[in-house]
Amino acid sequence: MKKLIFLLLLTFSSLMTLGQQAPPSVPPNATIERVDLSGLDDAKLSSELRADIQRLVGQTYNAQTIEALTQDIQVELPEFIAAATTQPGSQPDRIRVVLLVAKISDDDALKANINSRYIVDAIQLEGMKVRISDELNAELQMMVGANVNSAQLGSLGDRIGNENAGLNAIVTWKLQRSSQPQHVNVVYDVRKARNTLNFSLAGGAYHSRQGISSPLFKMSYTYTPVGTLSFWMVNSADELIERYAGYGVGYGLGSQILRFELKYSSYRTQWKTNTLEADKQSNQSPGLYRLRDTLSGQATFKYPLTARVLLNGSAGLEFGELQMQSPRLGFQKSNAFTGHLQTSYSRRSGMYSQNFGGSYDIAAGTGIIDSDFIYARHEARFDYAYTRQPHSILFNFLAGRVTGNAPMHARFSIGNARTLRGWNKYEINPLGGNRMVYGSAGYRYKIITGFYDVGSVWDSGQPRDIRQSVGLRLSKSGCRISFLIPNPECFSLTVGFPINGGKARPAFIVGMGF
Amino acid sequence: MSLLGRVCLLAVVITGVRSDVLAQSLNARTSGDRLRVSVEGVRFLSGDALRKLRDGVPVDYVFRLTALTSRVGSVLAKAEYRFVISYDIFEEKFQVSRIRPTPRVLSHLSLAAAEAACVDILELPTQSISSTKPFWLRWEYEAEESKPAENTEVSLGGLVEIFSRKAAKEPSRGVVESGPFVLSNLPRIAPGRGGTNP
Repeated sequence: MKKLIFLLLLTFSSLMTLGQQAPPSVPPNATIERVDLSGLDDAKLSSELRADIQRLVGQTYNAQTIEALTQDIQVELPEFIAAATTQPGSQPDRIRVVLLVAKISDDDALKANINSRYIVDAIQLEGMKVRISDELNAELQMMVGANVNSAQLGSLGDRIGNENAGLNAIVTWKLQRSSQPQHVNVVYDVRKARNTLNFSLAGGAYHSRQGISSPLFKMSYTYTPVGTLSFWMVNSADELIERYAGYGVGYGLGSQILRFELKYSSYRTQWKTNTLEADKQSNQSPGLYRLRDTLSGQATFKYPLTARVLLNGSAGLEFGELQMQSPRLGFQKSNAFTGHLQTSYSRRSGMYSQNFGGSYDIAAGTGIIDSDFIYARHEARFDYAYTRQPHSILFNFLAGRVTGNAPMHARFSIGNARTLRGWNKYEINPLGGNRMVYGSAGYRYKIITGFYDVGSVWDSGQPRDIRQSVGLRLSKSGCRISFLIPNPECFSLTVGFPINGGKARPAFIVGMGF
Repeated sequence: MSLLGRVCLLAVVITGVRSDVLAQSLNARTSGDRLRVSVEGVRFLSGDALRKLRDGVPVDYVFRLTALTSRVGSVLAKAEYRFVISYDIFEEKFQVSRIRPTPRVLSHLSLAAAEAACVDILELPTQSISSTKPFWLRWEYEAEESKPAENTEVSLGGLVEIFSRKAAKEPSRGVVESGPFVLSNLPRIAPGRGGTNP
């Protein structure tokens, strides 16, 4: 039995690697001195076919004749595949022909795709331009020289799609005959999805001192080339001083390089007691509102500077209406020009990866567009991560400045689920500030990250109070897919301890999707 | 054009459009205690699935054969067969690999032989079908691009992905229904003579 298994394995390995080897050199006009059948009892062949095989002995070698014979075997035995190879004979001008026959059902790859016996010569990409990480590119190239593997081809096609998720593209693969017999080229075809419906939840958090904060859902429907219609609902208290809850709708049109978007959102706001008290006592408060409606339009562009550096930006106009509750009831206009510039660099190579991102945002409320809030807001952000699996070091830096009288939603705030973890933003500065500096450094080992955060939010002319915190975070490295139900890989648990806070009262944060 | 002419033209158009459906037929026979079928006028190796196959991409096929008390009645007997079909881009021949209920492979087949290999294998046990009462047969198939076994885990996220990429992986389907049949009236063939059954 062991011998039989060994023989089967030998036969398969010969068949599967036949195409990888250079064809054995056959001397010109070589005479076939013997023909052997391997992997099959010749009694299973018809007498005619056995006679055809034996008739080859003594004849001059002809590759086409041998190929036709293997085809005849396959026709007669449809559950088998056959191939031929040659070996030197007893004399220099003589050769031995070996007919290798194997049962398809003994090999899972062949059962799944008969083309698994062919060798991949090259990988090609057709259709839309895509960006592929070094790691993925290396895996694609590893298929060259190997047998066709349908499962792997499909999986790598999905990864090409995932790495270019923003393109909303469909990636399919196909095989084409190569110039060499028994060799194929793999062609990945990347084309734009014409009709796409997306539904996702993302980026929620529970902060033990600030409560739950989460976009409830976002759904979008794209019909190319008509455009993308989106709708979302949100209830968030994380990034701003206010808790805002409501809905938004949007329409986008254009390509990945240049795109135009129109959005409308309507949010009701809630304020913590700290903020309400601070608003009453401060004569510098811009005032609180209970309803914030915004209509905005913007043009965005994306431009790959190099294969690894992507530049994107946007310019737009926002028309906001605030239903004020303080200092007096009424409506105020919060209109502004907005601009955003961002660059990102990503490099992956085996176990190593480096990611860098930098962005600059500006918003300007002026009388030209009839804004009641006249201000300029600048914000810059830098992120860097270096990974050598399973270790990573992480740095983040954030700085902002507001001049003039900005509405509450344009003021800065830190001390939430993502910044100055351990502190409570409502205790640091319940009205936010018009100046902000923040930095964070972290070391990650597998799923554990130790971090140190430092930063300050203050109003110009007021003293700065630098605050620090340290903590631990448990999380997987990424949660990129959209999902409907909580996915264990998308959860994180953070505990942050404020330093020099007087009371060592930690904050616990359960994150979802970040 | 006269009214009669218009009616005739309309009839010709309707007949032309529906000729593919009208030409489909499902025939039954018994072999021992098994019921087998033959389907005529259905080319399930066609369209997008055939294009994928000719591109070297394997395609999963699921075939179901159901015996019903009436066209919309309850199920008397049901069988499901799963195949992976691939196409050798050098030999230009099909391979039919049966996954369920028992694995079996047939290779080096022409298009017609590959279709026949999938249909002729389908059988239903006749024990639950009355030999004198009429019944209906429903034969259906569904095809989609073959996915590796490790990715078949069902999750809502995966469903979202599937729905999102509907255009890429839209399965092709087909149904043929026929009846009423009466078991005792069906032609009989000797057991084991299943033609090209793998």
